[in-house]
Amino acid sequence: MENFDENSQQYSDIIKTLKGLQRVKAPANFEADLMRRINTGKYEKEKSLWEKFLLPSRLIPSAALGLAAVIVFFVLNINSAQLENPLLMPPRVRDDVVATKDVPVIPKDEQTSTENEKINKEANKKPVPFFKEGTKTYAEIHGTAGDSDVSNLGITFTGEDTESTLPGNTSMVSFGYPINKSGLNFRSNTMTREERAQLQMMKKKLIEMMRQLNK
Amino acid sequence: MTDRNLSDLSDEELILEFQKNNTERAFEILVQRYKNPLTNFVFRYLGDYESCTDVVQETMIKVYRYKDTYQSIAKFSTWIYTIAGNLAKTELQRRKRRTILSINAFGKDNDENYEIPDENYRPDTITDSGIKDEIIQKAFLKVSEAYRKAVILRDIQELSYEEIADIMGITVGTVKSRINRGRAQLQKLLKGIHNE
Repeated sequence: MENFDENSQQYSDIIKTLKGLQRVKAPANFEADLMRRINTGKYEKEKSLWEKFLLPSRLIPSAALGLAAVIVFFVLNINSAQLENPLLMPPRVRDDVVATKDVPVIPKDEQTSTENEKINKEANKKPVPFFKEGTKTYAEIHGTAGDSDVSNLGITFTGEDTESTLPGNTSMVSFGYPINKSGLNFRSNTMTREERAQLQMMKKKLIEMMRQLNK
Repeated sequence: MTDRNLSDLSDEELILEFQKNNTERAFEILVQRYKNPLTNFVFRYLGDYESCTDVVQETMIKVYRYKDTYQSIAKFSTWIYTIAGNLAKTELQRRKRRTILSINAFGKDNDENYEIPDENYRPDTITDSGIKDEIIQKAFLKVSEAYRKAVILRDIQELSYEEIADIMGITVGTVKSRINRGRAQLQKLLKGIHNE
């Protein structure tokens, strides 16, 4: 503070000069002009934040910058072979469709049902019945009741979809023709007769082994 | 409230009256009180009477429109000086942008500034000490903005250091330092006047 007082004395001349300056006064019509401006609302209106943001001086450079960024991004992206273009990717197909009972059932249309039955027949040779309450043998489901080897396997299926991960009681979705899981399992349809025979043989061997072990 | 009662009120009471009851007379009294001190302050800061009048009018309009933003914690004088100071600064910046191609480039010598004669009304030219005032004003404009503002508020407007600190948004210590530096610059520029 002492330094400051010393400085005040040092600059006493300049302080005196400044204090002695002529006082500038407002013009005589100042108040009248002011009130006129206020009442007529001719004074410059404050711009809102959006108006300030949308000024061409700010909008054009920012838009150009954004556009340049997008172009650069795409140019770099096209050149990279590792990344797959999401627009050219094939859509994913779901293996099975499982829904709750609340899903509305589409009414049967005779024409579509007959067409679908034809398709189903071609695919499975024999129409696959719906699962019903109670138990059914493997042979009943797959139409191999005549085959004594298979019918004696002792494998049974319940009416509920035990494999479903959905909570609660589930059922198959009706599209006008009987569909079950085995019908939608396209892998089994693609098996040749030889392969099926091989599979049956393996099953038989397995059962025999199990029986021997039990004995 | 009558006119006489309003005139007796302090600045803070007047602005509160204007805020609460929208009493325009209270605003008019505030304009009467501050029009001359503000004109003096802005004129010394800008050095141009026409711009100075515009800035002071803008200041008053801001007070009128944004009266509700005033909080009674601060002094009214501090608030209105802050508004005027900010507007004057904006005006200076606008002027700088406009004069990218300065008229000074056409002067006789590179060192000297060539001034276009201004025939408009100037308060500093109608007094006996007009020439001296003009020299001081020109010297003022050569002092850096921050120092100039501090010196004007202290030595011309005679405000306290605390008020100046509030107006400029800096500490009292910084205010004192700026005032001293401003005075030093002015003294250098006005050597000839003091020697006479």
